[in-house]
Amino acid sequence: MLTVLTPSPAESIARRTSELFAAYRHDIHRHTDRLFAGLMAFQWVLGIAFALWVSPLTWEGDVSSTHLHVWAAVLLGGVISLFPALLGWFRPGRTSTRHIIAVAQMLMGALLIHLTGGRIETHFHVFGSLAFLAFYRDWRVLIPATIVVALDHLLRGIFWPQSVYGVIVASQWRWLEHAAWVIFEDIFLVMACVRSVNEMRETAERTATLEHEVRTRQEAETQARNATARNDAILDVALDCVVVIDAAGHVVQFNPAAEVTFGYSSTQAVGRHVSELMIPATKREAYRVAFNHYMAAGDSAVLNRRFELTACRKGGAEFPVEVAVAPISTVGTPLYACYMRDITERKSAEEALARRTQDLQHANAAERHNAAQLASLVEELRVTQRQAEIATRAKSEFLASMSHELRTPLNAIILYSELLQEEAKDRHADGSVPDLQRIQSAGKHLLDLINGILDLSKIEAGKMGLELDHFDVRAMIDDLANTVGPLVQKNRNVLTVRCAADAGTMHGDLTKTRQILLNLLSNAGKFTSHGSVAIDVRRGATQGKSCVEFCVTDTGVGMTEEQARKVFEPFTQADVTTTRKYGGTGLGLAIVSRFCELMGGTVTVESRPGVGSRFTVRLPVEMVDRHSEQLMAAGVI
Amino acid sequence: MVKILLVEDNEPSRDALSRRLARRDFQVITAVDGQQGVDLAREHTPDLILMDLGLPIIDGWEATRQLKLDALTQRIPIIVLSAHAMTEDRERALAAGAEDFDSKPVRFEQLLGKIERLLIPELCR
Repeated sequence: MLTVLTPSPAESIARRTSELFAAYRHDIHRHTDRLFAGLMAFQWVLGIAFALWVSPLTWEGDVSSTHLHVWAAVLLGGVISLFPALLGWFRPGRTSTRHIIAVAQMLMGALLIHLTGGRIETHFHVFGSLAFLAFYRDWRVLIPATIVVALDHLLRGIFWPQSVYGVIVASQWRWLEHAAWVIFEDIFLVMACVRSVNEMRETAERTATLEHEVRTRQEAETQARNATARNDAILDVALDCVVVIDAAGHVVQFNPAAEVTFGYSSTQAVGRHVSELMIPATKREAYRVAFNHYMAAGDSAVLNRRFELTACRKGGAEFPVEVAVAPISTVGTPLYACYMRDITERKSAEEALARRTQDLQHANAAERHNAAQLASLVEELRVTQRQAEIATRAKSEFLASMSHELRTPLNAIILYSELLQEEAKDRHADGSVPDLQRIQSAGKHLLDLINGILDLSKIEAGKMGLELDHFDVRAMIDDLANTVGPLVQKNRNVLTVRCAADAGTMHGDLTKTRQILLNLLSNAGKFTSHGSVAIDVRRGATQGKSCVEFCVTDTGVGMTEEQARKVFEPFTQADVTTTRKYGGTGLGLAIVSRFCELMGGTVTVESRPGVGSRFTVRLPVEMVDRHSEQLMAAGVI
Repeated sequence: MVKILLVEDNEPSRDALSRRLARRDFQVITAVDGQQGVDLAREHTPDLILMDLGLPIIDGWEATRQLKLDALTQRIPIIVLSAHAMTEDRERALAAGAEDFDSKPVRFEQLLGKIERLLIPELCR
């Protein structure tokens, strides 16, 4: 794993110190190298000058020539100085450069001493050179220099004392004295160098420390500047109002959103008390009291919580705001950041929502009310239906018992009237017979009425079923003709029966079919006199189903259209006089109509007053007992 | 002479019908309630019984049931006469064991036909 180590301040200062120290030293070395490069050239020229001045010409006999010293100064001086001068000029700063320079400088000193004939004064060049070399602040360069001086004096002192001491014979140990003086100087120079280097190091360290401090301060300042810029940017673009206040409630900072919301510019707002800027006049005092209370108690009921209060804009318009106050941790005076948001829209949205919720609740309540009403209506209907059923049953029971109660006395009336007629005939007292017949007839009429009413009520109560059987249509018609023949002929009518050969058989309720035809034929007979009554029977089809068509035609009184329309309703004979004139219960055709319906057939009438009537009954060949089917479907059977 | 027991609580009906039957040469015994009807049937073992349904003490259905359960009387044909003209009355009467049913008011000639049809085996015996 790679760990990036951030250097500690001490480390970085130490490193910087080394850098600076090295740089100083290098600088001094370079500088001194260049100095020596110049010095070398100067010394060379000086050496030549010495040579020319001290012994420019030598006489050997009459030959005067340039002294050897002059050539030595020119050549040796050049050899010694040229190389180090070039090094000092072109490769300054290097350790080798200054060591070579040190050696060369000492050799140059030796040359100068030689050129001046070993003058003791020239020896001071050596001390000057050493001092010059100390400019390097590197005591090491003194070592080769000292060695060169010591060796030069040792060797020349032995082999050529004149060159170095200016005497022909010199003490064997004289070089040692020179070297001792040189070393004596070296001691001071080394001490000076070491001390200077130490100072240089201290300077570097001070500089590094200073640099570090400066850098640290700069960084801190930059950070502070950045933080401020960042905060300002955040506050500038914040959608919420941000108002910074001090502990007394005075505005310290007022962001653009606050400017827009409250209507004051930042410069107007800063320094003023929040309560006079943003709190409605009526609530200002209460707000001040609360504010002071919170500040005094250090109460955290407000801090770091969201709460709502009524604020006011410049000009006094009030509006709801949501507020959060947070303390800002700063050194010195405490500050508080108040975040405020205009919640007018949210409030109105909330109110709208509340209104809508309430509307919905009302609607729900209304709906529930409606549902309850509907339920009670259904219940009422159910009760009504039950009551209707009970009423129907009561009616049926009433009719049954009425029928029973009426039949018992009727039984006696009819039996007695017949008995009396028989007895009158026996006694040949025929005078009372017509009256007795009227009693009997009235009784039978009453019976017909009772039976008719009973039948109708049974049909209406849905209690009338069908008794289905196969029967031959022709046989039924013949039998019927025999029964109704006397009835029809009573009014001197002619009964004609025409039955088609293909009439065939029916599957139906024989009794009810007979009853229908009996009612129609007896009706026809009743309303016709000296005319004809005819029944025509043939196969037909109605609504795509095979049926038998019975046509009863008479040449009787006939009916108006209006009478014909109502003829199948109970108790609606053509007019009140009809019953009186023709008799009948007024129920016969009603029963015909109901029976036809019950058997899935139809009955129609065509009639013209004074011409006659035609009743047409169409009954299906195959009848279906719908009543039984319904009962079966209902699971009763 | 054919003996007919007429069980009928309504006095005029009982009187008129019994007299008409007597005129047709039937010997008529009359009872006014169901219990008396049962008793007289056991006592006289008539050839035929005409039984009303709505009777005091025990009704016509119960009397019919009792007579049909009694070995002494169970062979006697019973014609139920009822002012109850509903179909279910007829069915209940036949279920109780009656041979035939006729509704009131009595159509006398029709009733005579029914009596004769029930008595033919008896008359031939």
